[in-house]
Amino acid sequence: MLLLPWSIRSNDSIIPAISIEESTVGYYQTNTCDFSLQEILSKNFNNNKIEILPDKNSTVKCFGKINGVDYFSDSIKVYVGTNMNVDFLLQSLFILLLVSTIPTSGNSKKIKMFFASVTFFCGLLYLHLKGEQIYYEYFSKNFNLSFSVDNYFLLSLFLICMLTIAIFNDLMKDKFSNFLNYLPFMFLFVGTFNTLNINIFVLFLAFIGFNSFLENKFNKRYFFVYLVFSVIQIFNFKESSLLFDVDKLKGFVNSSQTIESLIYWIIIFYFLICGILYLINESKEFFNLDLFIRNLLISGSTITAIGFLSAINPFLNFITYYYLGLNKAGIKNLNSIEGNTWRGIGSSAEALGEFYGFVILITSLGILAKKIKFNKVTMLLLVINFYGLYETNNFAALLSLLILISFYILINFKMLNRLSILTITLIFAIFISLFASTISYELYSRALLREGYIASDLNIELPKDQDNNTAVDNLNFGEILLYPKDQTNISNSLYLFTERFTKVKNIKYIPNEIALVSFVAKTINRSEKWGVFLAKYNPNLGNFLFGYGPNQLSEYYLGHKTKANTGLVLPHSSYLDFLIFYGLFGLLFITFIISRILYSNRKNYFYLILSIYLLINLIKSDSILYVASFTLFIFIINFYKIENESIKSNE
Amino acid sequence: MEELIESICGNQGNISELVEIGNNPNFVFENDPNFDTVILFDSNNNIINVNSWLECANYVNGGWINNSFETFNGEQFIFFVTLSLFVIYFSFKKLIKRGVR
Repeated sequence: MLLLPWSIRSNDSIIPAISIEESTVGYYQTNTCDFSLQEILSKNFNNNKIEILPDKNSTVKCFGKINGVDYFSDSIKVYVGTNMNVDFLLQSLFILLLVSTIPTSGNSKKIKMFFASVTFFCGLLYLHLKGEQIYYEYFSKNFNLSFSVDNYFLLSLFLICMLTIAIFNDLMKDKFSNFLNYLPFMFLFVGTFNTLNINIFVLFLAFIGFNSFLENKFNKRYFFVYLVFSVIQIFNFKESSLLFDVDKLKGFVNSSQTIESLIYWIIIFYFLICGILYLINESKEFFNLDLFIRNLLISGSTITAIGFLSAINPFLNFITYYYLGLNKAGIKNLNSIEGNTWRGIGSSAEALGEFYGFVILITSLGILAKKIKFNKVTMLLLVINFYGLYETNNFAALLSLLILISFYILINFKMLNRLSILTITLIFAIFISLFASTISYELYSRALLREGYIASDLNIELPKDQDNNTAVDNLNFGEILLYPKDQTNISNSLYLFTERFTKVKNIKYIPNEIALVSFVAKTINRSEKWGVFLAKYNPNLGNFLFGYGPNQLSEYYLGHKTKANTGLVLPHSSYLDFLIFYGLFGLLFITFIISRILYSNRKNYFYLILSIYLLINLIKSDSILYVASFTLFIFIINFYKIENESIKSNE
Repeated sequence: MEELIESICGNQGNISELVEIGNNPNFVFENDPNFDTVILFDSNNNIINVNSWLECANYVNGGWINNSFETFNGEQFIFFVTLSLFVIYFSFKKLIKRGVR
């Protein structure tokens, strides 16, 4: 059934499919919408000159057929027709088929579906389509949101949404309690629709969250705080026709700058969190750490294997992209390429590396602390995950993994005495001294501002000295502040940082706070990315304190003109992402909540180490912008509930 | 397909010539003064005037049609497919429930 749509031949066509070469490009350009993907597959399976890409503007009739072929110097691009309505139906059915394979647990809890849920989600879908209309009009020529009985475009989307939710609800009646154990597969089956800015797991988890809300099982205090933030964000909102290229963030970021889209993301994000928390709270007694770790290992290994398979065959590359619901097609190289690390089928090498590191960490801790079964298969899967981590080249994940495992061993085997602490401190001090002797403090302390000014699109021409260097080249940022701010086009954040760096009186032997941030940024190779963040981040007071709203990047990204307004240069820190979404108050609030949870569970080392691993890695990665990583983060921060439940049941 | 070509372009040519054109990307069509110009449309409503039977047949074979030909409503098709799935799914569910009882 799933392969059928790619095999339907045009019944009008009388000409045969042939091998795709430079000389036959014209043949395919003349005969568009004639050959099915399966037909050209039979003639070109080992043809590595071709690259198969989705043609997202296709009509239903041309779905799965070759809609265009273009010759490029490095490859021949073959465009296969895909369509929004068909994608929604086909990809939903595939993910539902996978959900149906989750084993049923004996004494399962059931979630009730209220009729209100179905109508609510249809309404939410409409709000989403209306809010991100500019984005969708690009994909569908028939995009039409008018309410009429012959608008089959909208009617079919509503019907697919209802069918998907109804089937998911039925599946959850038996599988709800086991769903948590199979969460690791969200990294493999990403679930993002090809032509919709929707992720199916966000929809499913939000559906669970909405039902928990109707059942009155949600935290009222947090709801009130969220409501206050949302109201302020809506009042601060500036509507515009900006269109943010969602690229690898598809399904979990707003593409538009409209009030409808902001409201949609506020609602869906809230219910997503509610859904994850409800899932943890209601199924924690069914959580099986052995099974969870095994699923993590299988998921990580399969990602590695498919990453390589999709790199060697263009058909596999396309099919995995489509059915796994990848935000971005898998990388077409087997190894890291210049300026880009290997990411396999993942959207980001960094997030994938972090995931591999997490799999290795939880498996190691599971073996050490929880005595989970360790056999040859576990060993093999662990090695594959190690290989994945090596290929993604995520040094921060590897280092934090090694340090945290060593730390756990020291604690677990009661080796953390005064002598070992002294030895570790000494080694650390020697390492820092050696590092400090090789670098220039002046350069490191100003690197962040320098990168910020390089990325800024200044309206002024900075004068040059006798060596043809400007104030930016000479790291003399105070000179730029001599110009009136409104003439320079410097972002508010960069201006504030420059002022704090140049105008604040320093206390002897205590480094300036901006210099310290810059030093850390340069040391962890983030001065360029965070510098770009400073150049772009130009909030007013309201946005700075309360943020732009959940998953809103368009105003941050395109609202202030810089040299980095094209492409997708993300902040490369989940804390900065959070600052954009929820502002300073939001960041302080969540820091307080997480710190309190960590402190009250300070003796639970298993939990503490997993949480710290993720919290450290979030400093330099954008993982919270990806659905699977975000879900894992929420799950791990709440993992103490599962630990407490297991202690309770042991007692 | 042959019927469609005949209905739009007439029956003044040989269908086997189309395959030869398909294999030759540099083929140039020659105007036929005896052929009445036909206007064809593609799915994007682009318009082309064709001046020979062969040119007309080639474009019709490539998915172009004259305006009198009714287009396929894909969204309607998807709507009814989903509706059928809906009916099948809920009927099946009801049957299973009855079976259990």
